[in-house]
Amino acid sequence: MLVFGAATTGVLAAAYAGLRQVGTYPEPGPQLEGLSVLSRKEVAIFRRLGDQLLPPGGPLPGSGGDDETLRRMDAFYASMPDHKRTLSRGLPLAFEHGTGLDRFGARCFTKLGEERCAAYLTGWSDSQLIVKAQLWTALKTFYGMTYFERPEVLASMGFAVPCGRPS
Amino acid sequence: MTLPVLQTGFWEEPAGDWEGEADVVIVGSGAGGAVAATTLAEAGLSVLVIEEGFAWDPNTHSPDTSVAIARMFQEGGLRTALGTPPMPVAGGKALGGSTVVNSAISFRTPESVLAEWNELSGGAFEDTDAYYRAMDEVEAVLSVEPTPDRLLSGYDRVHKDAAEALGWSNYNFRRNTPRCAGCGRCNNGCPVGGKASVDIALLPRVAAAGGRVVTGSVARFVAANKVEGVVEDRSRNIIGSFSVTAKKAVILSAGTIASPRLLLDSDVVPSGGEVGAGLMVHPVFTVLGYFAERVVAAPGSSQGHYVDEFGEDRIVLESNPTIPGAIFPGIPMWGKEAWPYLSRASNFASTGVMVRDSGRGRIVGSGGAGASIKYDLSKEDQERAARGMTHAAQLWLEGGGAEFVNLNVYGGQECRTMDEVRGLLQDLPAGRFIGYSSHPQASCSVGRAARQDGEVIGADGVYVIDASSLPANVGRNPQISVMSVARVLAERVASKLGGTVKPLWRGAGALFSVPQYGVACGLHTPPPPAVDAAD
Repeated sequence: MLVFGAATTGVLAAAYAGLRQVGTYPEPGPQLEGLSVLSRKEVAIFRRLGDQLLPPGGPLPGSGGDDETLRRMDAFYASMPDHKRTLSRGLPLAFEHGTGLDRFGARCFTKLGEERCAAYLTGWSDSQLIVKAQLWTALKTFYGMTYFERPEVLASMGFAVPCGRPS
Repeated sequence: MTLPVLQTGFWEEPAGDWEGEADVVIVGSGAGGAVAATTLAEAGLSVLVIEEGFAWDPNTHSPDTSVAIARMFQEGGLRTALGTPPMPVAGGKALGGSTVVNSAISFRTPESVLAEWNELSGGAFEDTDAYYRAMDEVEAVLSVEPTPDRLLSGYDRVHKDAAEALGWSNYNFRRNTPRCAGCGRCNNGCPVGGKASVDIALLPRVAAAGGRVVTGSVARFVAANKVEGVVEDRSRNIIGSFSVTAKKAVILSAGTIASPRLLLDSDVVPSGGEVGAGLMVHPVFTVLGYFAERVVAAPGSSQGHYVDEFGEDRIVLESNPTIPGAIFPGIPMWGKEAWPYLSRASNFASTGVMVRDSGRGRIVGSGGAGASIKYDLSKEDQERAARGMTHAAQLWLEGGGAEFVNLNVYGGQECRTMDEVRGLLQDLPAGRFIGYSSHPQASCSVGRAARQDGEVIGADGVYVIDASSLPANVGRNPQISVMSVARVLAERVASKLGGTVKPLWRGAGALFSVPQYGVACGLHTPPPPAVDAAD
């Protein structure tokens, strides 16, 4: 009976957390024009993540969450083979719903306030869990493949305009 | 053969279904396939080369790394070996294969490695004179020369100065870049046509000898006398199918991952045997050094310098290009904390710790979703990686005077002293190493999975001639070794099939001609950072 009770409690808790996650799913803003892969929800998640990882207002132009980076993220996803794209679509979802496995409880990442949002991502960056560390590195790599491909970003960092790039 | 053609150089890019027939059908046009095709076509056999990628040149290469990777790398650059740690396994997917996107580094096969290969293969490399002759020819055809100091980039120079300061054995790479302009973009496809990749140096000779080279055609099924697959357009939409008949032989030169995968997927050989086993990946582990001054100020070759002090311990330190997109995931900082470092990203230099691995992995069938690659870093290789990263940290901190180093490990942090480096690496679990592989080898080894001419044991008429064929890891960038092995094996196949082998190197009068693309480029000084970091 005790086992049954514990199991029932667990199921109810999980169901509640799931409902909260769904209930707090981001209200996506208007979709960026010209995207071919990313959904509005994915755009909302990448925008929030990008603005945390590469915030605006610093010495580098733009941000990890601005329209240009998101367009490049969409193009990056579009360039992937189908099976890799399917797998890679799990990346933003892992961050969005990873709150359910963290002390931040049943509220999606995009619904966290600024302070909790930063603390949540610090939990990812400092994690000694290899899977979390791998996902964190993958996320940074995705921004490496997008934000750091922007010519104005490269120029501001002192990198030469690559040979052959149209001026 | 009926073959609707969209674009034609010496190759053909089909627009739909096609069929064909040749004495020898070769799957793959990279380092192995191009040599095999040239050898066999010039020996008088009819040759048909099937390439899944497309032809690119300086007029069509993209300067954007992400675009270049998506176009010209296997699985959009996301091919990964599953294991501890998971590891990206790069490979080219273009007419010319990986030779189009490599750094053109051209090591000769070390004598000790050739002896080891001979032992492992049951005498396949007994005739060392023939092997060295093949290697000389390959080097001549590719115009391999030492990188002159004037083409060392800023990060190469820091690498060299640091090694010199420590008194370590070090050299400029030998490279096959006879018209290098110092753009540092070898891995995106040379933007000025300065690299003698095989799409320039060899494959036109296949067509000149009467062979055919067809792109955009993805092999899905192979047997002793046929190859079938699908035709893709440049957006990877399937636009048709193809079926070709091989009258004498099928040669797989699709690379270390795809060649065994094709054999296994086609049930040419049973799974669990020697085909696919024996995979070595030649893993690389990166260590960044952060300097007070810019190190990227001087452009140059994409990789120009290496340290060979630890070669006997199977470790080579290679200067890596400083790529901002790779620095961001390589440092632990993010958000506002990362601003000072990112705005001074040109102060970073990078060295790759290349480990000649002793552990072996396996390729298994794909199930239609890319190859499944199993590879775990062995305990011995893990310890060697840690030693190599310690040497790399010493190179930057003590040789180069770096302010700090970042070891590319999961959960890493900046280290300012060697004690911090040793503390971080001590007892580090294998899963926390961040490695990558650009040189998978030995998954269908001569002597183990194939006979001494590359014919797959248990699959008469089907040969493998590419990096898979190597009996073991070269321990160096393998381009020249792969091509030399391919030449030796292809000579044997040509003789067996009744051909007359002609020299690969035709003498100085036959130096290949690199097209002049007139791209405005060259050694130039990039502008300083627009914004100085706000500490």
